[in-house]
Amino acid sequence: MKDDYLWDGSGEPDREVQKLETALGRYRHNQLAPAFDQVAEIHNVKQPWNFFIFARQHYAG
Amino acid sequence: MERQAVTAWPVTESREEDSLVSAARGGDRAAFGRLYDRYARMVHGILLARVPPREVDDLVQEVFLLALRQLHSLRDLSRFGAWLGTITRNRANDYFRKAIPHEKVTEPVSESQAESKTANNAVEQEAAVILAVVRGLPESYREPLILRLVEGMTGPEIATRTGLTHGSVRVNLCRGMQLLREKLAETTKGASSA
Repeated sequence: MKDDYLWDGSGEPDREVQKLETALGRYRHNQLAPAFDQVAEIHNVKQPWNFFIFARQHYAG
Repeated sequence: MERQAVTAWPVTESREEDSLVSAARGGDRAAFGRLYDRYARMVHGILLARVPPREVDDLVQEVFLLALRQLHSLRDLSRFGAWLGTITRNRANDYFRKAIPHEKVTEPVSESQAESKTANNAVEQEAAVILAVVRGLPESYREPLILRLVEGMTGPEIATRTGLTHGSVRVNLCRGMQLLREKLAETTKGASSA
């Protein structure tokens, strides 16, 4: 089928789709999972954004 | 919405995922981490279709924290993906309620120019322009196209993760790609004649 490559990557490669995949791949998600096991400890803290501060520090370090 | 049989994703995976969701709801953070691994690209893609790229990474984390807190409200474990997708779209909408007007996704050209300012070379600029064109497409097309072209998900994977039918995802991918080709041709033509 004509659009098989777009659908599931099978069949004859579509050069334009491949070009777009290459160009747009730079925006692909590439972050590791945050430390969800730490969420419970700060879940009831009045400032929930501490979680993100923690996560950033955790992965920056 | 009707859910078609998923041939590319075996029943065992579906059951395994239900177990993960159940475990996560029971407080198993490692299980929730595995759900993050499975769904982070979907969440990232849905957000990228709606909000400025520089905001997406932070919002991905926000969405998963929201999901973790609201997981107890999910009634049908097998609908986790669709449920998470809804949370993600709502968070993107909230972003615009709080954001200044000029950051709306409905202004792809101005956003393209803004993103291009930070691009270091022609390749990055080209990618920013292509992304802006995709983000200017109708919502039903831009989301599956971003999941396919940016996040590298296959059509069957998009259907499974989002809870949409294979048929609707395939139609939107094909029609969206056709429209994207036309828009990119217009963009190229406009750039060369300028």
